[in-house]
Amino acid sequence: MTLSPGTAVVGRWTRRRIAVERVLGEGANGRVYLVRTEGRGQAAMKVCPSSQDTALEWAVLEQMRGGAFPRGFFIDDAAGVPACFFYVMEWVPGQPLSRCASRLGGSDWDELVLQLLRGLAGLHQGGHAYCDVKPQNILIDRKLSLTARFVDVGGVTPFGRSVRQFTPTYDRAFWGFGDRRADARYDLFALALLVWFAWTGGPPANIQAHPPAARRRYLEKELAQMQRSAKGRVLAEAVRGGWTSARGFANAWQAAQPGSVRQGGTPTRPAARRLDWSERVMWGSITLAVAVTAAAWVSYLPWA
Amino acid sequence: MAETQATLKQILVITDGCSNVGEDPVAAAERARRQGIAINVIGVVDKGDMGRQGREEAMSIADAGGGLCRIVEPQELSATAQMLTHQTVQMTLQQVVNQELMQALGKTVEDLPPSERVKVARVMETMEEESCLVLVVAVDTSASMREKMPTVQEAIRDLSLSLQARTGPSQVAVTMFPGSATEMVRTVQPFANGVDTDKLETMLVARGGTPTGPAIAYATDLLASWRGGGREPGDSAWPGEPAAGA
Repeated sequence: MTLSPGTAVVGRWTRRRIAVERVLGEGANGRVYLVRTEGRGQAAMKVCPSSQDTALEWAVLEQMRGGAFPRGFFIDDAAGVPACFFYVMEWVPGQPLSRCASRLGGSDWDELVLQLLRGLAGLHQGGHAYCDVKPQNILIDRKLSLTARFVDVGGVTPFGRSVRQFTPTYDRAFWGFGDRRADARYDLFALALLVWFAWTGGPPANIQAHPPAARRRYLEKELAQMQRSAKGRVLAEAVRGGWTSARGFANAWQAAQPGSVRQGGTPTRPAARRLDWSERVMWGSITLAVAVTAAAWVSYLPWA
Repeated sequence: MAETQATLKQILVITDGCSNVGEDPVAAAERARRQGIAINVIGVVDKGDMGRQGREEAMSIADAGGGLCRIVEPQELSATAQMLTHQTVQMTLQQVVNQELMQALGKTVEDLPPSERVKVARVMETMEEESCLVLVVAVDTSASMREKMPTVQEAIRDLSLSLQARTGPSQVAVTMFPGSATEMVRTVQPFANGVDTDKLETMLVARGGTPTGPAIAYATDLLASWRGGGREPGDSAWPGEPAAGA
């Protein structure tokens, strides 16, 4: 079921009127819409066919109260056929990491990883794992300073329970590096691989067709590559399950930051791409000066 | 609701076409549903298509079997198998809980205000995790499945990894249809709490038609003869396999 732009939904319990503006995205268990509500202005509304999913996700947002997660406004449903269960939350502007990763520079990554780790630390403190850490679930906003936030809390699972929502590329069981049970390390593994694969381009598309032993070998080789830079070593430790808490990972990540990281996986490419106008003018004038000098010499020398 | 460990029975059919041998799969699915078994169907298409007939049959089987149906490319098979299993467990439990609430309060979960629904949802999440799940995976092994076999085997192995991570017990059996030129259905692996990779590798394309109906009936019998529900206290040992098959 899709709500078309212009549809007005009236909450059955809160009696609030919500005007649907457009679809923002699709999660594993429902859609997210940009809406306008009385009092709150623009907001995001997640609609699930299952009342259970809606209720559990709402409970997570209520517990997190913002930070690296969207702030929850209210939960409600609209009678109809089929019934529509939803909650309304803060609309997080920005672009999914999956679409802007190549434009981020080294210092952007430093900041992004720290913010995400802080978010995960808060979630872990409450005894939950995020589980479905992937670029599509992370929104990056670069208006003022960089802010990174998790959207879609559909995968959040209490520690010790089986993981229900995951993406094979970032799932430690897929790589043969552990089980599919929610704990802090499960998230740290996924975040570390996300960063590494964003830097290096990621595994070949057909990796899923490979048998488990071959996948493990592939990741072992990547781990050897990671050893070649300070930040890579911090990521490798997370992949091996060495950090038991997001804080431990974050401290090591910060310690790895002094300028000594221009090798290995750190992206030098995005930095080079950011030429601003003054730099262009400088290179332009140098080129022009060289050309004029050369032309002068050429016209002067042969006939001297 | 406390301390009940529900036993949930499911059949997952993995196919890429229409049935053409034996009884009507939709009728077989209806019969299974009456015995409290839910049937999910995954149609695997590779570049081409299943054809309208195949698609419609897959949908009808899932409808009749009280489960869900998805048509996917091979690389999505693994994730889809897990999602369908989870969603169908959720649906079944929701029906159970709704029935109990109806009897106790004359309301369903949806009639509760959202803030109270969170509590019920938590209970149901726990029930889902702790319930005993008994699953038969029925794999279409007709000729057109040949190239998809490694992916199917991998998806079943991966599904069992996820099931093993649950707190509650789970039992998985794998069957193939056709079994051989003379046998419509064969057990690849009887009920066990994990998947035996060696046995899975013996699951190869066989000669014969696509007996989807008989495969569903066979899986229903396997589930009916499965003993060892979670409700009897002290019944901790899982009895071995039903007599059929290897």
